Amino acid sequence: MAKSKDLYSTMAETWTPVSSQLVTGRRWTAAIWFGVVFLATVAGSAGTWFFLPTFWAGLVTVVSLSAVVGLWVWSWIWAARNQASWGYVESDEELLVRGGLLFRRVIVVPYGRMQFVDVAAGPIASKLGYASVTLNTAATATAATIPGVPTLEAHRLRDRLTELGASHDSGL
Amino acid sequence: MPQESNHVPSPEPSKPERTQSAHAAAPLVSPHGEIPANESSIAIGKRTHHYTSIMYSWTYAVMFSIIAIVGFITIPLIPFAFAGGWILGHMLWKNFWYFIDETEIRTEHRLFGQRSRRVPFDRVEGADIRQPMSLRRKGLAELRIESAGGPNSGIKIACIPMEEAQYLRALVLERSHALRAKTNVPADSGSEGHVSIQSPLQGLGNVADISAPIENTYDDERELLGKASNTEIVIGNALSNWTLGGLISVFAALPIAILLGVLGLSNGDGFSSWLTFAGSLLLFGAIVVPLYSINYWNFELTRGKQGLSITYGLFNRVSNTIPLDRIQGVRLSQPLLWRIFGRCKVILDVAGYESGGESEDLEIRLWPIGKLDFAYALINQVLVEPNPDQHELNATRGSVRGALFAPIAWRFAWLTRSSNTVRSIAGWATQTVQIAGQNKVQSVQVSQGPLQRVLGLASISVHVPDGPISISLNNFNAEEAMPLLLAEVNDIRAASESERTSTNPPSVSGNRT
Repeated sequence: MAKSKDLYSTMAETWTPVSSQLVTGRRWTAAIWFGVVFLATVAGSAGTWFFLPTFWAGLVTVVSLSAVVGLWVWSWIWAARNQASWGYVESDEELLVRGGLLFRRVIVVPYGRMQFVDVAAGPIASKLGYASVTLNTAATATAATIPGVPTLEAHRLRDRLTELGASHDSGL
Repeated sequence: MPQESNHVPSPEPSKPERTQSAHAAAPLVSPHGEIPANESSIAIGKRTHHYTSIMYSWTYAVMFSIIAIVGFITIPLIPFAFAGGWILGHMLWKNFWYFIDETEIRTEHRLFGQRSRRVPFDRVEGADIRQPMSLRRKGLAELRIESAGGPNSGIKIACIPMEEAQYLRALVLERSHALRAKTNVPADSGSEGHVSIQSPLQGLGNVADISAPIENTYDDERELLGKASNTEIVIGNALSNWTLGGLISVFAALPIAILLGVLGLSNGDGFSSWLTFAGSLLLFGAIVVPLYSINYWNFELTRGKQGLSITYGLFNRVSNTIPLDRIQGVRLSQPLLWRIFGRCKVILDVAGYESGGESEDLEIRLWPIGKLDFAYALINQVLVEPNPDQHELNATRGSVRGALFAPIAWRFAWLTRSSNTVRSIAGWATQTVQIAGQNKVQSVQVSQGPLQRVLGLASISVHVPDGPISISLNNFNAEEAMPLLLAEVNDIRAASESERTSTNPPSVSGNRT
């Protein structure tokens, strides 16, 4: 019963996984963000020691710092699990993309419906050698983004999708 | 970038051209029936009717006057405001041209820099003629060409004679149809691909008649599909959910007020303010909303070789002409009170007619109010459904566990499929049935949130190009999610396969039978 409740467990396809560097990249991004938040929290809770009794100032410090560290740890674990949830399949006629952990989704885009394909990589992503590939159709609701595709593979995928899109063109 | 082609008229046209009306300037659209020797002469830029300048002048004069008054610059400045408005209006008119050539329609503004917009014929989604009250007296009209490419991507030619507007509309639609037919049809089937552009002018009786109707007179094979009853439109608008809300509020308030009065808990103040609220709801629903009926007054639906033509409006008469293959879907909706009388309305989803573009734009109704059977017969004309039985076989409904998210609405949620269309049924206060052609579906997605995973539920959305239609089913059994997704994908595949292999453009096949 528990098996069939989960969307992903009902799928038989062999999914191409995304780059494991995505985990590293997201942990770095998290490290930068949480580093800033951590320092700000340290400064803020240090301030409370000047006008709160020691007990309350200590409590504020412990609670706020452990909250930040807790979220940081959670994002560390999340990065790996989320990366594992992503995958795509290039079938004969369609591209299938799955991904997401808390909110799971599977999207299928027929090649012929593709309007254009975007490849994007920020500084961390390009350093680590991966990029995100986004498929766009005439419907803006189509949100088929694959994060963390290895850069070479991303460009191959884009070229292939564009090529397939042109040969299957229809639907407008 | 405006093109510096030799077709662009010199900014200083000769005097006689200016003093005479637009008729004399271009023989093609002359109501005296002159047909150009070669088609390339169509590409000569034209001005709109000189009445445009008067219309603009008034608009700007009033605007400047308001600025003069609101800005406390004293009322004696109003004559100057009018003079300024007149000059600006005149300049706007003089510096606007439109062009139609083999492949595209183009407009050029030369005032305050140069702006030009071109719409290639194969991107034309539809053509509308509008006739506001101010233009009707002069026999003028406004032509709008809608194009693929989102809101405000079309072309608007204000103020040209009605005959010319109709002729241009016929020309633009025929050319766009011919171009699209050419890309869809193998080269040898010339009969469908070749469209004579001169035919629209023939069979046009007294073209100088200033009271030409807004209906599409250039398409003489038009078939009347129906005329809606004005009485039904007014009554239908009066029976909206607003009215229902008002009625319920009034009748719910009475027993509560009596009860409170009997128990001595209320002195009636709360009741009277509640009654005011309920009354204004009722007033809005029963009096104000029906006033909007004039927008759909004398509603008429016809079908011809260029597609559907819908004409409506009392003061502001509008005529939409929509190529059938540009229709992506329809939405049939029934407010609660309409359901009692078995009435419904049908809205069209047309590529390029994006809602939220211009506020004055009304939704494109295929039918403003009518019986269910009739509505479905009409829908079958625009989205052919050869296998209605398949919808009953391939039906997925919302799960009872979805009651947590939608206590009442889950009972009414369905997604049904056939090889040609996909439908979603939803809502209880206003029940809607949304239908899209399988060949217009762009992508399909199933999703599952954390709470849905616990309950074993999933949601599916069938993505169609942006428009008033959105097809989805929320909270159905998760076990059915992937099979449903793959089955729908199969349907899309089959639909685009048959579209590719068919010898006729999709709009023509099936609809002509």
